[in-house]
Amino acid sequence: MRRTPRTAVASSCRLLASLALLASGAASASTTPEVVDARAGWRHEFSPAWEMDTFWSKEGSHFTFQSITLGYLGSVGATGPFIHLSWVIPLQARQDGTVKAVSSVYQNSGGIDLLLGWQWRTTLSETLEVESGPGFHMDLINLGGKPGLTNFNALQIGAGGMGILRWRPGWKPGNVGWTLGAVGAVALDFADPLRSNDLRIGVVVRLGAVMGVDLP
Amino acid sequence: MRRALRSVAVLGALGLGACLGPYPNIGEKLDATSRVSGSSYITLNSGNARVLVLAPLDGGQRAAFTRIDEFQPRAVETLQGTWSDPGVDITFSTSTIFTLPDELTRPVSSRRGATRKTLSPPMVSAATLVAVSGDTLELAGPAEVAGTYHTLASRTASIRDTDATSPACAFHVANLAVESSEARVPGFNSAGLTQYLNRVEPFQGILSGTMSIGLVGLFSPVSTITFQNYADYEGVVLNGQQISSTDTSGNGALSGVVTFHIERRGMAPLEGSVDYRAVTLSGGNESGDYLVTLDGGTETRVPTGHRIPSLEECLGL
Repeated sequence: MRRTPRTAVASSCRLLASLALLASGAASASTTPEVVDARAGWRHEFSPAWEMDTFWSKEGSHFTFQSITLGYLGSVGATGPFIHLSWVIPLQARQDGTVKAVSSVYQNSGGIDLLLGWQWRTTLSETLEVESGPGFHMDLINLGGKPGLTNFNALQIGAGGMGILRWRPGWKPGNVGWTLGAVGAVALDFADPLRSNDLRIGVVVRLGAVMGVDLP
Repeated sequence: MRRALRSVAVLGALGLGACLGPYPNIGEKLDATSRVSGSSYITLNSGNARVLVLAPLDGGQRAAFTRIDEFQPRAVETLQGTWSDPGVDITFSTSTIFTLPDELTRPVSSRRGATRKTLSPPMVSAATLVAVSGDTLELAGPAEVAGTYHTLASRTASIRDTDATSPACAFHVANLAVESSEARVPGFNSAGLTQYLNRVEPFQGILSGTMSIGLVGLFSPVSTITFQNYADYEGVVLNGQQISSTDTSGNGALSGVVTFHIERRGMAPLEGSVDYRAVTLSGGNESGDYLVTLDGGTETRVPTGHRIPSLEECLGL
């Protein structure tokens, strides 16, 4: 069967297109494969922790609260922003040597601890990673007094830093990596706008475990 | 957990615009009033009233005392402790001071409100008993205690039913007790009142009865003060409610009715009431009129602010 000039042109076009596709495939196959930075990507983690908030007031008292916290820890990139947002459950309150169980004098107690900053990640080995960085710190607690007793509340603001040691096993079901590790954070607080800046200085220490996912 | 979350959210919002004063003590009692039952004296100094309540020594070395200093137009300092040495020299040992400062010019959000200070060791001031006779007690010494004091019941007898000023005078005497009660409520007249949100807390009168305070609504707060046979000193007893409905800046109005009973030496007591419905609040400060009814008579408008007539005129001092 004779091909008409029209069908011949169409066939040539298809061939060119096929060649172009082949060429492009060959070109991409010939470039160096992209090196994936093991430090890159998102980390979303849950962190149960112990937190101590100790501070001195300008009126001369020294307060210490021992709490447990349940937090979300998130960060992105080999270097990038991070957030540690924790729900604080105060268990013990101390003032100038007098110690009280929070549940014995307060009700509906809770708080929020926020550390928001910039992190850098480094790898110690194929499966171990360290993340650390400084940030802005805010600690808000409210202890509702039982009947006949005063409330205790504070909104402390300052600066802090954190470090996470993270184990990233190679197991990646569904391209989602899993992480386990430990976190430590320290903050110095200088101001409390809720309490007429009665805060002289406060120190917050948080130590806990982390477990979460590692997303590209 | 939900209430705790809500409390924290509320507090966070509050923290952006208000201050609650210095940190309270852990597990601190709201009501730290000591009951003092004894002779009540009053003295006046440039329109400011000072009430002194001395419990009898009854053969002992020490007894309780209360001193209430009220400053015009609205500030109160109440001292409580013990007094001793009933001879010529009297010693007052103050262990607790309640303060309601004059913060008329400050916005509600930056007011400190009523506070309490516990003194350890106690603050001691000495006075000399110059003269004591029947209804009068004259003390010499530092300015904070010196003065000629009169038993309150003997001076309230100067408020005569037939005087046109008697409703205003009766109100001014009764209102001393209202203001005195406010100084012992931590956070009163400030954002610190938020700690009474969704709760009702009682405070005992220095002599008898209770005053309770409760708050509902954070952004349109309504606070209710209820007096029940409330007395801080001899001769003035309060009952009823004062309700304040405002926005967060303290703009709004008062309502409610408080009845008062004022003893008079050798005369029938004065019975009256204060209706607060004509009092408006701007930035937490009162304006308008108190509607006072005395012994079932007609309603009299008594303006807010400085006392007219003065307590000196009312009590003949």
